[in-house]
Amino acid sequence: MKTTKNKIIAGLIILVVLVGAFMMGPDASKPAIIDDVPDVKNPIVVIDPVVTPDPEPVVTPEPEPVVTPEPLPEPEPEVPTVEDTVEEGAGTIKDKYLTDPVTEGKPLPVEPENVTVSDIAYECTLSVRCDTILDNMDDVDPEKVELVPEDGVIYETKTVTFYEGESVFNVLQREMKLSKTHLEFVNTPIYNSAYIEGINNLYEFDCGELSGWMYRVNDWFPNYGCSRYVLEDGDVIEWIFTCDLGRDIGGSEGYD
Amino acid sequence: MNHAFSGYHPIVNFLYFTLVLVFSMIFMHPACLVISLGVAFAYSISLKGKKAARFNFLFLLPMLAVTALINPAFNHEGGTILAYLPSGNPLTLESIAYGLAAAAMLAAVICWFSCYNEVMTSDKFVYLFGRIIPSLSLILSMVLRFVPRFKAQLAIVSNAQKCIGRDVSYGTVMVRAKHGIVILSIMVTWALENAIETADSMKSRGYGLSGRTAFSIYHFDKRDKSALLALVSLGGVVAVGGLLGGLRFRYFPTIKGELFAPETALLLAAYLVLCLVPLIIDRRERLKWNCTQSKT
Repeated sequence: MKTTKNKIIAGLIILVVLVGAFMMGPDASKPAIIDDVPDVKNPIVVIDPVVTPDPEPVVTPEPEPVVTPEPLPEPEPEVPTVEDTVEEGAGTIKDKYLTDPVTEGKPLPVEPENVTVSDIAYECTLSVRCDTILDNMDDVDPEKVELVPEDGVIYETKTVTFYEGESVFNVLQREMKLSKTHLEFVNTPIYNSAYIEGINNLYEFDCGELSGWMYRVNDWFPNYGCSRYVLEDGDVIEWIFTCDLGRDIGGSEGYD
Repeated sequence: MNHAFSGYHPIVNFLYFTLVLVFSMIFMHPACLVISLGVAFAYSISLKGKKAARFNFLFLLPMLAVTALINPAFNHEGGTILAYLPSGNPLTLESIAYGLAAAAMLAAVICWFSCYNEVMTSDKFVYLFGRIIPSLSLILSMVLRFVPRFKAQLAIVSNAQKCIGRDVSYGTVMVRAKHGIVILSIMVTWALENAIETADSMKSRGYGLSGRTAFSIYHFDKRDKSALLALVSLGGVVAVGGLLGGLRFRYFPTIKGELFAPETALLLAAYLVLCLVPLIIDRRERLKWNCTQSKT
């Protein structure tokens, strides 16, 4: 009888651990809001290499009640703007998240944990399309054919609001939630970014083994993850499904 | 209690379990899973009584629930979004349904294997495969017999150790662990030695040599023939219907599948009867027995 009791207790403990893990899954999707940092040695900085240098600190306690996406932390007294030191001048050296040097003149990646989202609202343009599937209907997983829209448009080009410091991933996630479109991503610590596995139940590899989702901002395919691309006012984001590792949509510079 | 189906020819038993296990593993149609799981529970309880009921309800059902919960935590595919998980990924109806189906399949297969062990004893297995694959069937029957034998021997060894005050139930944690390791070492030695002894013994008796015959009490008679016929025809119907897609059920991206279409209902009925064969045989045998009892 005692052994059965022990077994039941062991089973319960396993169950509790699993439920705990289930509830507190990795939560790196949101830009980390730094609030529990009484003992930081290095001050929190907003790495802001591309945004036009603001004379005033980025995080300012705004008097007018602007809609905030997240509760804001106490504004840090000193917010120095730090130049990116990782790949300055280095020709072919990858940064610590395995990113090749970024094309001259294009925004550098910004680590989401170093960003504070302010409540200053900007606008950008977002669209999600899968036109390439229409040209490769033979390769599509037969169960997914019904999911492909006739015109290839999953999310029509629309102007959406975002808040200063937010990344492409934040905007995509919020808009997909609002439009009740399915979106699955996975956080990949090695690239320090979210990876978009599927939108509207169209997943990577659903249209041939070279297929998947890519993103383009202002007609440029960034060579780093979408959580590390901090948006600017007026950016044009396009999420495009490729059936050929980006070659069919002009985003293959990294591979060829 | 005597189980009529266990007394049938080994080939009937083996065919039945092969069919049922393969079908349980292949068909993800919810009705198939319900049939398979339900009959497996019923059959295991009728075979082993209370013990099986306790195992089924205290182990298999909680395991089913946990497995069903795990799937939506990692699988976010599906068209029907119910809510969003704390991680930001959607919780979908389809992933929950698929988790339940996979869990039911797992529980059903485990339950069927527990029935298999009860009916297909190692002598039956060796009788069936001793000629065709002598060494493999010997290994299989030894492996399948190993766990219960190991448990019995463990009880003997641990009792002997208890007599000299070196049992795991006595002393501080360190001392207990030490005693446990001693017992484990004794058991491993015993297992290895036992395996070599068995192999030598089987060899010296000419196991696997040509021309060697083995005693068996199995006889293929008329009732075996009719049971075999029933199993083959039912299994054939279900297999052909399944191959033709009559039991297809889609979980992703949206749930889609026939439930009440005539051909699906027919296949499900055949599957149910196939699963119920041993229970029907047992029931008929009992009725017959009761009849003869009351007449005299």
